[in-house]
Amino acid sequence: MGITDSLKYYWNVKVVGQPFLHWQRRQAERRPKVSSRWRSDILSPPLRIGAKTKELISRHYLEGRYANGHRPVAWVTSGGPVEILQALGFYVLYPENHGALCGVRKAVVEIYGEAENAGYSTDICSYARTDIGSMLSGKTPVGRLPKPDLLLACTNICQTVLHWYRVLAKHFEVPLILIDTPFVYTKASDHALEYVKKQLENSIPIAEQVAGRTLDYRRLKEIIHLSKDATELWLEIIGRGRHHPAPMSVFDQFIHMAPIVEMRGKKETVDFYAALLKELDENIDKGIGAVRNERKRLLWDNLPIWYRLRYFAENLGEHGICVVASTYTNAWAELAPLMNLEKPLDSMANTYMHPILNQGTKYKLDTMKRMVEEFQLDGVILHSDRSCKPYSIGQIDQRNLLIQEYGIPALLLEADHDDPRAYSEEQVASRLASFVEMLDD
Amino acid sequence: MTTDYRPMWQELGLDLEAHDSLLQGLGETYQNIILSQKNRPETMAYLDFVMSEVHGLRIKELLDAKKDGRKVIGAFCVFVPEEIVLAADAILVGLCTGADFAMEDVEKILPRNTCSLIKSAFGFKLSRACPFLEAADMVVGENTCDGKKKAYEQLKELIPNLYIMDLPQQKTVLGKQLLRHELQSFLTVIENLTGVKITADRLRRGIEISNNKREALMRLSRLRAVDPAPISGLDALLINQVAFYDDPLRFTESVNKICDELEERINLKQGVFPAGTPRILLSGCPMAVPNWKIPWLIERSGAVVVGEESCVGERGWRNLTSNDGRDVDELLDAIVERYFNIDCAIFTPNTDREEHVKMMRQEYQADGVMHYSLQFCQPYSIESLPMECRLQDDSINFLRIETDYSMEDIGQLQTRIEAFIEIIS
Repeated sequence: MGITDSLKYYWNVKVVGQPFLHWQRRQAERRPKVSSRWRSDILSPPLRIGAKTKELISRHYLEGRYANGHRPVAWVTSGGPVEILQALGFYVLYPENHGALCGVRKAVVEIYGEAENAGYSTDICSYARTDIGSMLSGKTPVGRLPKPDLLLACTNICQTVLHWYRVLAKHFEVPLILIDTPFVYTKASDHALEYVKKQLENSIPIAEQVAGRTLDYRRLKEIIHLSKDATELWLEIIGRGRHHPAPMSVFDQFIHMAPIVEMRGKKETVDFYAALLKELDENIDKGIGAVRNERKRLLWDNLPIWYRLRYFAENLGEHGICVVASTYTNAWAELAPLMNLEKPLDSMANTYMHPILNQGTKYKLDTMKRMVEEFQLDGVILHSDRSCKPYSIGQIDQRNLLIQEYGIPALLLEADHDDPRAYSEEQVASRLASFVEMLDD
Repeated sequence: MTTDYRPMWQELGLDLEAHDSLLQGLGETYQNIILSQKNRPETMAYLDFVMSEVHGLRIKELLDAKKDGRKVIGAFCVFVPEEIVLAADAILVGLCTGADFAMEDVEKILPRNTCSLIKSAFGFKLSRACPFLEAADMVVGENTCDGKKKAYEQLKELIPNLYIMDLPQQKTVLGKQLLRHELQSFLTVIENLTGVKITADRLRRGIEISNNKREALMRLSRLRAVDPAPISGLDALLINQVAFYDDPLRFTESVNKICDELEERINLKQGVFPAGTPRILLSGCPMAVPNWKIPWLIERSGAVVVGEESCVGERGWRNLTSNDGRDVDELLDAIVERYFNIDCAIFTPNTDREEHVKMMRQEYQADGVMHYSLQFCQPYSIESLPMECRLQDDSINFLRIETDYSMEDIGQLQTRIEAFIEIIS
């Protein structure tokens, strides 16, 4: 690590950037402005915490921008066991989150076009294409992404990451740690858990070598503790959707989940979610719902359609429909009980084997059914995501079972989380309209 | 087929109407693509016979074997160890996955962007048109890719006797240990199913039969290195495909007879195409019967396919299993070693595959490499681009093709293939 780079980091991040972002946030909090395009007639004002979310995300990418040369950088999959890297002082970037951000900022088409021009198939996951496009061209809406010193891919979310990170490893010529998590159809076998645990153990010396320091197990426990605290808070936050009216829609959750995905293991993340929970509780006390006239409540299955979040919130909000829960945001909450501070590696192996995407479709169906009951929902929207096979295969059956066996209205919408070319607004609008009519019948 | 097998198919529970339409389509395609070739080796008559009876006499053989107490195991993939199946006196057969069938019904279950191979497996089950599937006492699904991993859950609802086997995704000591666990479990499952205790002698015999088949197929591969090519790529692919269906002992003997004839042809400098015909190595996804689309387009465009770097090709056969183990444990270790070395695109890293393609290109004197990915197959699709870069670094001509089982794109593909052949000529 170089002194010049560290000086640059301190000047740009600590002296100029962070105070500026802090000031910007304070201004926004003091004089909250609601965009003239905000549909105040149907949606309650945005949550105040939004200013803090923006500050946290901006700060995260700002730190990344100047991280190279100052601290080691790792690029990690969203379901990756990040705690070891955090404990070793890595700056951690999640290309999927960056892809989502590119989607929200509507920058994806230009960026994944770079990957497609280089020969990558349009059928590859749009996150992967966006990341590879960004890698090849340097294009990003956040200024600049740091180059990785280490890559960590965990197959608990999909197998695409295995191939995607291989491309990254070749391009950046850096070590790739692969954590292979056997699929859990019903129950994880002992030898599969042992397999994952040993991989975690084996990853430590590689990460230590890149970081240039030894893993402090006390620090690792602290970080797992912070991860667990944040995850438990997130679980409580999404659980507030049980209230009528729900204080937060999933379209808000999709935005405010960024820290739980890419900033786990940090004190500021715990503080952030504590503040969000407090605001939600205040709104519940005041009877403020995300949708002003909440009449119907829905569940969202699969990833968001990042480039049309507002459209869905408004379109459904117009009919007094609030999407209050999601299997996707729940995925970052439901693993909290598996985290055990006393046995960090065993606990990490167990936790990272059990994301919803690494479990059988029956588990997802049960989760949906449970959420429909607990959140008192009127129906389910299943987004059949062209890019995400693990999430989408089985949805047709799940929709049919929800309707036929449980009597829960369910709608399957075909789109893509980050590729607007696989999305037809006319088709979506017409299908949503029919679904809304059906809910009202 | 000379015999009326309809009562047998009916008893198996096939949908006769769907099955008739399948056989009719298969027969026409076989006639137009395989039988219409010129200069075919005479010994290929055996393969033509097998194909004409693939749903007839071969199924009868399987049913007769079942009556004798033997079990039939169906598989989709080369990771299912035939050695273990044979050691229990059971029969391993490949299942139908090479054609679009009942797609409308399939897309009521699976997303449209699922690869043709997975959809095909569902189509044959939903339409009850694959007698191998209906005859199987157990079907083995292996977790190679995301599509299969999830789709097997759906398939299990249609095939209750589906056994799922996990596979590692990395070639490390830990990955090998995982595979060891999985194959040990598979061995136990096979013992329980068949009621046969697998001894070292039985396992050695299974290894021997499997190795002999692989050696015969590799002998065939090596003979294709000669110019003029003594056999077409289509016929060679057909032999590789039939390897999954036929009795292994009889098949091995027949392949060796074909090889004997090819050696005579080579001595006489007789080729299936003239000397100097552009030579292409095919690499990528497996091609199950009746998926002959790409080699057919290549060979009708004036080139010859001289090798298949594929699971239905050298990737599936080139590694042998050591027979030196003293007991079941040691022999199982050897089986693990053999299957762990398959360079499937599910592994990261997978540099062996690049090296193997280069080696095949050189040994078979190919003028270019054509990479074939099934649409929506992420492992092979993503791996194709780095492979193109590596091979082009070595000045090897390379063409990437992504397609499915439909014939809608043959015009476009033919244009690209012809242009590629022009370049390598």
